[in-house]
Amino acid sequence: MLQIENVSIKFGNIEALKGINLKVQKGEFFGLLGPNGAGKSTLMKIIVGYLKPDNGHVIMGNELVVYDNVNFRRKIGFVPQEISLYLELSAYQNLKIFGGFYNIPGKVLEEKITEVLKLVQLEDRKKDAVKNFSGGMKRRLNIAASILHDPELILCDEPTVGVDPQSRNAIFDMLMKLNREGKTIIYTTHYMEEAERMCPRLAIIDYGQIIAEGTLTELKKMLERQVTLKVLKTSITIEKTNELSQIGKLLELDGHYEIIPNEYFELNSKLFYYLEELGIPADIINLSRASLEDVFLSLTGRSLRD
Amino acid sequence: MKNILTLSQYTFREAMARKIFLTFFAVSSFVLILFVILFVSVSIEEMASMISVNGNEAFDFISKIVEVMKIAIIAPLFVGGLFLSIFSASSFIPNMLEKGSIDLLLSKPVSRAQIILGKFFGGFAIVLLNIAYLVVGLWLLIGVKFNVWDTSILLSIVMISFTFAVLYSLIILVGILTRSSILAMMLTYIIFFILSPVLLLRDKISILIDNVVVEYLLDGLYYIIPKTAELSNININIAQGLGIDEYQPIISSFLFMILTLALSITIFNKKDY
Repeated sequence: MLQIENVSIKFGNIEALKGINLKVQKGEFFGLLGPNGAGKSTLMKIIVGYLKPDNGHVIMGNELVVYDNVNFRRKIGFVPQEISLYLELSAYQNLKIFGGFYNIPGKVLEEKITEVLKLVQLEDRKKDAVKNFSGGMKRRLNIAASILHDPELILCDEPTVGVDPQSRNAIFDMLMKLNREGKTIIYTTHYMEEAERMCPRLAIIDYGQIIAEGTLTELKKMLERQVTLKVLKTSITIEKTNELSQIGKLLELDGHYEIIPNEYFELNSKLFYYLEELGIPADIINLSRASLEDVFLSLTGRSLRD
Repeated sequence: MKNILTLSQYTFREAMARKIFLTFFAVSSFVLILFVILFVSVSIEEMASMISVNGNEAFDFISKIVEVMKIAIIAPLFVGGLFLSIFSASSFIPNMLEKGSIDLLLSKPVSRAQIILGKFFGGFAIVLLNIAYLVVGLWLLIGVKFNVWDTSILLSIVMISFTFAVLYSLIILVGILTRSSILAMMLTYIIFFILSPVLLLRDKISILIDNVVVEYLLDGLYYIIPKTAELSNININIAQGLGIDEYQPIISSFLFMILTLALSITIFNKKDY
């Protein structure tokens, strides 16, 4: 569906993207995870074709994405990071204006407007001025304005920034529905929870470079530790230190033990059965699984939110 | 063409949604109401009888009043209308270039040239509408009051709108270069209120200064900068039915507008957003 080959771009002395290579399959929900300033939005703009890379190119289907190719944009729906709506106008008027760019015949456009308003759950507010909408509602309408023309590829550039949890869930549901209907979605975010929840396959971008790419499982497998067991230091556990060290690599820290289970104990059932046998109460045990945050930390040496 | 129309509509609606254009409309309505009050309270027939005129003399008297009134209306209308129009339109481009707005616009199947032309025609259309509302309103009031239906005043709509279009092209260029509505507005006001009237007197200034370099500089600036002061004089003349005696200011200002728009499109095409 989409091939990004060796794409680089510089802004002055800053290399915003350094030889990006990515492939996104048709119908995929692909995530692009990275901190602010990593180059996610720049890459989105190059895919849309309104930013010209210094090197490399983007191919969609069999078509080379040419800078400022107006017709190509009919295949893409771009949801920008910022709200870009006419606040004084109604939801319906906004969609009517944005739909006007796609030469959609009047009656069909009316039907599409009704359809997308239903999808973003703003049907009953279509006559209200956007300025009276909540942040989440504006975001949903922003997405509606981008998918009105039924694009093959939807590019979402951090569409949930500043959105309340309820609206965020509504946006997730909506995008997942579109994906189930066959739309290819590229979703950029700096929230690892979002990436984990939404994107079966993703790439991690940092300082303009793809530093890792794969499914969630593949990415987590890059880590030395998949699971970490924390056990509080109590009279019982101090007594059973030797037995605990059988689970895996044991580190004695202030107030607790940290254990990285070996292959045998990677299965939770075996681990908990063993701990129960040792007579260690469940309320002093904490088991944490590796997250994308850990992957990012191990690859870059810093947190995603740094 | 369809995209330019959509973008013009987009700009038009944006402008309508802003209070500033409603203010413009309200000011125009206020002026019209003032004239209604004036015309209702002053009886021309009574005035004519007071100075003992009748028959043809009365007709001449009314015609003279109408002529004086036209000049008294058209000159301030040109300045006031353009002042408000420039003020209202100066933020169109900087607003469009704000992050988010420009992203969504550039992701649509419209070329950058279409975006600029759409903004241009949309802004022009709303000013044309406002000026037409005021001038047609005044024409109707004068016609009803004095029974003088002289259509030459209506040509002011064309002249004021044309002058706005010339200045608006400069607002667009400065907006694209600087993304600053204040700067676009200030520069346009400087040309409109200071440079153009001063350059109209360049021959007299040259005599006073008596320096060849200054003379060339003033001449150069005169031919580059839109000739709004002369357009104002042409506007008064055509409103009085005197016609246009010199086309050079119109042609050179029109060329300025075309070149400025072309330059805006070229720069906009090359900029990354």
